[in-house]
Amino acid sequence: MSKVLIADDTAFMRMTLKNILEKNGYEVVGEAEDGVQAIEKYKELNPSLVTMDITMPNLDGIAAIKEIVKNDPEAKIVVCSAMGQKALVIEALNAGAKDFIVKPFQPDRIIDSLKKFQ
Amino acid sequence: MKKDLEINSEEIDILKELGNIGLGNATISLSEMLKDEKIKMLVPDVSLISLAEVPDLVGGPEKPVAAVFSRAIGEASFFLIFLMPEKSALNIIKALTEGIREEFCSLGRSVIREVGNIVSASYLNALSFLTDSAYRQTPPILAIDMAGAILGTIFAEASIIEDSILMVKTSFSTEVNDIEGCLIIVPHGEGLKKIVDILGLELKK
Amino acid sequence: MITQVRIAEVVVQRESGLLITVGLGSCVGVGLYDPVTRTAGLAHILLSDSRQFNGKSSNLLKYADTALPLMMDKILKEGALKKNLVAKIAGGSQLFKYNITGGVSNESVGKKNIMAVKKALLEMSIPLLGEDVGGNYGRTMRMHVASGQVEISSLEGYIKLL
Repeated sequence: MSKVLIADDTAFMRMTLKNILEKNGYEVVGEAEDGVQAIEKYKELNPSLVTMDITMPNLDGIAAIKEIVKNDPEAKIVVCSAMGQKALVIEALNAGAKDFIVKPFQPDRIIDSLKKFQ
Repeated sequence: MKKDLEINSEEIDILKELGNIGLGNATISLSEMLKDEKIKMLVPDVSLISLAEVPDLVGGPEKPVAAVFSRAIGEASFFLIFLMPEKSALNIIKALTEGIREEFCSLGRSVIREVGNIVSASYLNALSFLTDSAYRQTPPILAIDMAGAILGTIFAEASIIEDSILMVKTSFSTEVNDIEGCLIIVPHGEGLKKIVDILGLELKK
Repeated sequence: MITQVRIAEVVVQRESGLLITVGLGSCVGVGLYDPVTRTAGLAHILLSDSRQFNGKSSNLLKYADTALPLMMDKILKEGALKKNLVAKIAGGSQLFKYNITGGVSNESVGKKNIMAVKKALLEMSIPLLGEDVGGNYGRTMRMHVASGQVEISSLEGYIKLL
């Protein structure tokens, strides 16, 4: 079963993602509320996949992606953010994200994306 | 001494159009979250008013509302306030948690914060697209209380203290879930003129 | 007569009626009263220090350090006597859990406002008879001009008398 780490500063979003993922056979092994926690939990849990929000307190998602990818170039991170601007999408992908999903999204969108990277 | 903000009617029209386009994008997002419910947009309201008059814009200082606040940083900087009457906030919690919650508990508050986040971001996404430049947003924060208390706090903490404040208010409402609300944009700092100029050129195309 | 006092306003009234200021978040409502002449004044303060905002606004009623002396002048002109004046205050709460400007701050605006108001009252030698300040909710302050009694209420339904 694929292990997923969810990073988002909003409990409601983490819950929604968790429900979608678990319904589709994924195992949510951890949740992070900001970029700092995302980096820590990645090291601790070594998930196979990560969903990452961008706008978070303490450290934003793009900075977290850069740090995670630095330590693990194979990291599979999919961005899940409301900020769907061209420049930010490019920045996220350049930082090492594999895909960029704009909120709000349909459950299929995220499942299809994660399937690609398993 | 800093001159009072001056704005002419052409600039007001541009800001109104920005309001329309931004809200248009935001309502697409809202509608998706509310299972494709139809969302009605009202004509944007651009006002140059005193601090004392601001609470009247949203129904009066005593009105219980839920407000999500964030700051947009880009070529211009401005504050974004997403506001809903308490009843609408409860209705949206109910709709998005599929009836599991209908109160301002931790999860309920989290729902409002996320809705505010998505609406503000959608607005910025539209602006970004129009001006071909990026706008980041600070993590949104939530307060549920009297409108006057919340707005006064926002102005004080963000040092918005000019005698006249420019506000662009865009409102929406839905029928099925009985949700209404507005997004208020408060341009702040030097970038306003720049943004109006860029938008003016874009919109003329 | 019921008179509303909005953000950055000061109103003085004699003998009867009600002065109300609604929606005190980080703002502080300051009531001054002369029980002998039954003259009341109410201010809705937004910020603590006018010197921090050079010339950005010409309305000095926003700031604790300038609004309170101005309110005192106004209330004395209405017939109040300085030696009789007493004060009651409310507000100065922190509505948002996190700092609004995204930076690191030591003190919320609400706390700064409370301190600045108290300092100004001290400097004007006006005794502070009662206060309902702090917390994380908004307040409404009602001042009865005939008696000087103040009622503080919040959306949660509590009422406190000062």
